[in-house]
This record gives sequence, structure tokens and C-alpha cells, in this order.
Amino acid sequence: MRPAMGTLLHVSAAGPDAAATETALDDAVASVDRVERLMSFHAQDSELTRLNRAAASAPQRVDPWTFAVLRRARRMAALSDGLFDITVAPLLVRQGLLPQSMDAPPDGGNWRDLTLLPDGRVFFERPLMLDLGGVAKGFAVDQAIHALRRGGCTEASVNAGGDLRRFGTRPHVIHLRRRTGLVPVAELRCGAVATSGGQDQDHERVAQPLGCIFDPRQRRAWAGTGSVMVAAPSCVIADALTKVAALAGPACKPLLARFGARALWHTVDIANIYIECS
Amino acid sequence: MSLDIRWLVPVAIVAAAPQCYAAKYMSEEQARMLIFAQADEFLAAPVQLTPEQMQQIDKLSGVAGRSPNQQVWRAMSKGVFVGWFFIDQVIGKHELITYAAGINADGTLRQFQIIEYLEAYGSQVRYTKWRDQFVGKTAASPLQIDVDIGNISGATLSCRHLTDGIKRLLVLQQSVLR
Repeated sequence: MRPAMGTLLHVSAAGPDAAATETALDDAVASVDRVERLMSFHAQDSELTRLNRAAASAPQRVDPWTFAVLRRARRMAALSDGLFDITVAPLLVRQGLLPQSMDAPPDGGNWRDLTLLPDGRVFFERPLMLDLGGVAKGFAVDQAIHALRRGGCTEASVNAGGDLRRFGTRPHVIHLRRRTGLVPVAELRCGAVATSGGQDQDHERVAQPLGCIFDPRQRRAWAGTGSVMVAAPSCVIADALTKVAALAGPACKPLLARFGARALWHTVDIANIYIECS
Repeated sequence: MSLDIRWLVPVAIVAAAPQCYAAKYMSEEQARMLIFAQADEFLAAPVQLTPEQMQQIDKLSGVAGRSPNQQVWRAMSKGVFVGWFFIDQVIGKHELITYAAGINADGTLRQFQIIEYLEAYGSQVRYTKWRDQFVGKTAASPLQIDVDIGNISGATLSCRHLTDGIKRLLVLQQSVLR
């Protein structure tokens, strides 16, 4: 266990060959570090920061991992009709939800202004500020899992502050954090789970919420109460879909199904607790 | 790349008062698919036990039956018989637990699933780890808590009554469904 990506990273694995497992664990942690180096919004020297500064002037070549994340993010934006949008950072900066690291471009741009060229270069059709906070952590967890699988591990789990993916045969119990303690809500053998929650429901959250969700339609932080847990084959998809599932509610079940994902909505009002699963 | 997750919470609940809710975890169809994934047909074969059969099953299983009527289906895969599918109920602490059980053609327990659980406490009997203890049990197995089936503290009565229910179904199959 160690700090990474603004949270705690927890990696565990088992395999027939102890030395190979040890190497695989190192590779897994290195993968997470690499994603952080490439895609941190906060680091001045990350590839993302370079992109935010320069991609509106000329197409920029990026690492294949960064390109892969951008491609997934753009597809998710298109399929969710903009409910998931990595271009809302200027609004977040202006509302104090993200630190001011450069002069934020005027808002009005959206995911449609992000062009991914076939040769692996990235171009902004107008000044944009991308924040990959909603997908990069999930992607990092996926890369760590790939490293553990390549290293011959038979059982593995990677958890970055609630973005969790595992494989193996043992069921892993996922808990809901309630005022009264931890309540088991799911058994995960293989696949990923990510969770998002409203800011004001700190005591009624599922696992560890990933901070606040921004609603691109309302142009402000999501006002909903409760939390959403999304399970998907990969963590990058689970991570991105939590935002969509939180904002759209159970109406987005068809979109979830398209990604082979399932969700648990947990909402609270004055008198009742509502749970709905897909 | 695949996803294997099972919710331990009901698929839809509204919980009002602090701890009291009715929870339906799955439909009978979903239970069939979970227990007999390969089956493509379920033929209804309900059993009505005679008083003598009731007595015999009570005696052999050590569990008193609640009703002479038992819901049973024959699970078929491409026309071949693969096992029996049961829907049954037992008392948890105060309320009925509805569950589904599958028994293989050779009389061993295939798996069981909780369909509906109405108690506020004790729903840990849904855990795969606890239910997996029953796989392969036969009418001749002890099927006793703390002997061949582990207890779950806080769910003792549900554990005991479900174990009794499974034992009775295994004996019933051996007695009248062979």
C-alpha cells in the first residue's frame, strides 16, 4: 500500500512463482506511476498539462496510453450525449473545484472540440482544458491488473481509493459505508467496481466516493444525494460510467448494458433508503 | 475481460423504518438459470405426498414437513434429464424464507439460492461461501450446523432452518423422485 494519484493505492497478488509475482507487483505499481506522470492535471510537467497548453495551436503527439484514455473518454461522451465530458475543467477551476494551474480558457468548448487524429495526434478545435480525473485512475488500475496478469499471477486485486479491479476465483465482498458501519453489498470475483457519491452524503456512501461529480448540463456540481456503484469488465469503463449513472439515474441502464456494466444506485431522503440494481 | 459480480442486496428495495424490509433477491426464473445454467427446459412435476410418505420423510430427515405439496420441476438440457429443481420455504426466525434448490440426477445437491428473505437480520445466508458448503451433499450427509455446515453468528436460526430444508429435499428426492 502507498500513496498514488491523490489517494491510496493498494495492490495484492498471488501466483505460483513468488519471484515472478514480486516482479509483477513492481510492474503494476510502475504502471500506475506512469499513468500519473502522463495524465495528472495538477503536475506542471505531465503530458496532459502540455496538451492543455499547446493542443489548440497545433496537433500534439501523445503517448499511446494517453491516446487510449482520450479515445475512451470521447466515446463515452458521445454515447452519453455529453453527460460524461472531460472538457468541463474550466468551470471546475472557476468554481474552485480544481486548482488554477494555467489560465483557464473561456468555457463553451465541449468534447466535440476534441479531435483525435488517426496518426495518434491530438488537436483542440478551440482552446480546451481537459481533466482526466474521471477516467485516468480507472485506466491506471486496468494497466496494473494487466501487468499482474502478464506476470503470471492467478489471483490479484488493485484498489486506488475505491476504483477497484480484481481477477481470480475467490469472491471479494464489496462494502457499503453507512453510519452504522460497513454493509456488504456485492461479491466480486472478476471485474471492476467504481463508486461516486454526492458531496453532502458523506455518511451514506458506497465504498469510497471519488470526490464530486460535475453535471455538464447544470454547469455545477451534482446536487443528488446518495451514491452509485458501477461494476464493469474494465475499471476505466466503471470509472467513467459512475458519473453517467449518478447523473442519469436508472434511466441509463441500456447504456450500461452496452458496456456489459451493472450499477447499484443507493439514494437517501428524509424517511427512506432506496436501492436499485441493474 | 469479464465481469463476475453478484449483488448481496435486493435488486430493488425501499426501506422505511430503521431495519425492517422485505427483500426479493431474484425471480424463480433467475434462480433456475443460476442453478441449472445449461438447462433449456423445466418440466413441472409437482409432488403431493401421501401421509405415509410425509411420515417417512419426516423420520428419515429428522425435519417435520410443512406441507404435503412440493413444487418440483425436471430440468432438461437438449432433451436429457439433468436434475430436479425445487422451490421451497422454511421459517427464518419469524418469517418465511423462499429458496430454490437443484439436485443433480445422482442425488447430490447442485446449489441453492435465496429468492426472498423477509427478516431484518441474517441474510448472510446468501453468501456464496456459506451456500457452497452444501454442494455435493446427499441425503446421507449429516447436514448439521457445526458438524458439516458452518454457522453464521447472527444468522443462526436461518442457517439451521435452511440446512434442515435442504436435508428434507434431499431425502424427499431419494424417497419419491427416483
